[in-house]
Amino acid sequence: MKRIRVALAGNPNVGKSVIFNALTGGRQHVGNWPGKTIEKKEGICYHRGYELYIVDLPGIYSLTTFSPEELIARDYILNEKPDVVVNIVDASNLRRNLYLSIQLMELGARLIIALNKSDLAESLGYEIDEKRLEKNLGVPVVPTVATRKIGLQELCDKIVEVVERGAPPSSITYPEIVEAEIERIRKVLEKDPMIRESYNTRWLAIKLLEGDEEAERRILAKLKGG
Amino acid sequence: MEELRKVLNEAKNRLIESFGLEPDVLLPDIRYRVIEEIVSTSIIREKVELTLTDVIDDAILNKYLGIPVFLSLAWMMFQFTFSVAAPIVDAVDMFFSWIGEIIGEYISNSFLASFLADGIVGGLGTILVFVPNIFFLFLALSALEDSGYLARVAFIFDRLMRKFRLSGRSIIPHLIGFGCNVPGVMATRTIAGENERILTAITNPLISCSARLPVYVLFAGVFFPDNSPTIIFSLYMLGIVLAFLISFVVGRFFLKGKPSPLIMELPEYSMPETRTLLMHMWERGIMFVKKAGTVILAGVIAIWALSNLPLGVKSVEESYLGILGHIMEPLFKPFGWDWRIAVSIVFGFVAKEIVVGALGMIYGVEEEALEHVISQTMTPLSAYAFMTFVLIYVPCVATLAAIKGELGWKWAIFSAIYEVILAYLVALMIMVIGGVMLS
Amino acid sequence: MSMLPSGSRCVVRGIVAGRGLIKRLVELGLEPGSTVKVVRNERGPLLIEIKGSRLALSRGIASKVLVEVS
Repeated sequence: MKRIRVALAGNPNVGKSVIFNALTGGRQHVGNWPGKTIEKKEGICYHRGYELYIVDLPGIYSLTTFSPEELIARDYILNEKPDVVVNIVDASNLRRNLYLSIQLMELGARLIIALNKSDLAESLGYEIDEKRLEKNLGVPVVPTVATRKIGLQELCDKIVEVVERGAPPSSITYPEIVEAEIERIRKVLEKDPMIRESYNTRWLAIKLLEGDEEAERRILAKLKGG
Repeated sequence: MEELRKVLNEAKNRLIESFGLEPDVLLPDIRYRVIEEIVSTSIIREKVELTLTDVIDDAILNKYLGIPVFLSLAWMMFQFTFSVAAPIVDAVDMFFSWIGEIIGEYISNSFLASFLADGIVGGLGTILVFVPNIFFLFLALSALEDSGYLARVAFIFDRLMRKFRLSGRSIIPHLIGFGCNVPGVMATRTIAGENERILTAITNPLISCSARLPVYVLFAGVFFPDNSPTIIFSLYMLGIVLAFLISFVVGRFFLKGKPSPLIMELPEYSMPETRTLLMHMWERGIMFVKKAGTVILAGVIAIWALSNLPLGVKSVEESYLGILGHIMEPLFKPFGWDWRIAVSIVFGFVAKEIVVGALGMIYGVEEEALEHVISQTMTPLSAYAFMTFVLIYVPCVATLAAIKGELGWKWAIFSAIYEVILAYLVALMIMVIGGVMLS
Repeated sequence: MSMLPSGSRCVVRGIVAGRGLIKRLVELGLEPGSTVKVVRNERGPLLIEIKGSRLALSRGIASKVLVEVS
């Protein structure tokens, strides 16, 4: 049976664990991320002849390095390179939630957005055009209400579709001036074969520009022949 | 590489010039601008100005209403947990006693029978008897958490908690601790700052868990029959006061680092879905049973072994446990406790709810007669000292295991040691002050 | 921002703090130019609304956020 590796990412409190449990049911295993006391949940879901191996990443607001949770999530996506990243977004808190989505797109993850808590958003007065959102983001958007098991089938369908279709990794384009600087940095990074092979250089360039300490440290290590 | 540094710095400088912002602020700013563009045509209607959350928060976070609302909800939670669970607890209790009897009837080898009945079945019984309580506690807690209320509790108590080097989130593990310290300690996981998390976890055992209640009820009932609720209340208060005191002292003098600033999201209030609640309850409940259960079972078997060996002993006094009690007796002379009490203290290390049963076994009487026997062997003052000792000394093994799981061996051992010392000192102080007051 | 009364609206002009804290606050939505509603400012932490979500901030942090009342 072919296996699809899926990572679930999202802010805390968006209903990630509800979706994880709904998809994996009893077929899950809870452990710890290596060397940390943070819980790692992995599970299996069968859909349309595929085995979906799902890892629930810790809830995070951003992919910078404020907390071990953020490091874990970002390392997992960079190193393990899951086939699909399902970004669970709280529809009642769209702007702040999309901040993580944008960063996941910077990472070049193959993204699907699960627009969760649509019922809550509606009750607050929001009206969201999911098709438009999908078009604007350039990434599939699947509306879900995880607590009522709505949209989960469609989510799994979309996961399979994205893999079968061979969809390209998502990306985001910034204003020209910024893109120009990113490109300049990227060119320098590309010169080193070690770096070129190990990392997504565009993402690395953005991180260096941002002053991300962890990225700086990793590069130093690689350059010293690590 | 030097070239990299050069290009990087030039790029940053150019961006600062163009945008007037440092790049580490610029990038987030640009991301949000991109988001605004995306969202401007996707969000057709924004949320209403005054939502349900605004209205409820106005009431709940109110200066005067906040704490009373919290206290009533907390009280309701415990009422729910204990009353609803009570019939189930009784049923489980009866079931296990019945099994113990059956084993006694059918197995002739008395040593083996005892091992199965008192050791294994007894151990399982001890755990399973408070499992219904734990599950209901988790259910109530999940309801409070999933609805969004718990974040408000952390908000309300933040200012107060900071005075003791804790975080607003510390109130929740301590609240849970009134039910059982094991999930209380486990709940410290969600506390943001490391120091705050450590302090909350190591002081949690000072919060009187429900397992200590039978001990309080028994002794208060015997020695302070007219005032027992007050006496019991004083013990709970003592625990709370000590928890804050120790938190302050350890935080101020033993821990380095600044207190973590509060940045916390307050989610919208929403009605929790029953299925999700049950799922959360089950997840946490099972984890508790696995972690605490194994430790307690091991502890009960160990205690059983100590009290029934060497082979052929006729009474507890002759067993290893009894010998241990006699060795410990001199330590407790200032309190007027004999070896039997010392032995019951060892039992209490495994699980505090078995102290009463242990006393019954040690004195060789049924629980009803226990009251009479105890009143002969202690004075009211030494009884009160005993209750405070039980309150403070060493967390039960399951709690210790939980502390080890959250914070590591170092803090688990620290907790065990400081609590024993504190228990001894406080009990001693009570004897001294009480002695002075009474004469 | 810690000086504003409950119910007021303001615009973020800057943050005076260590880089790490600035970054964290900006990423949560407190970027220059964004509108903040001070929902509650009594004793204790502040409750603000930014980008549609409600955040509790300690007074210390709130006082580091420079705003202009609108």
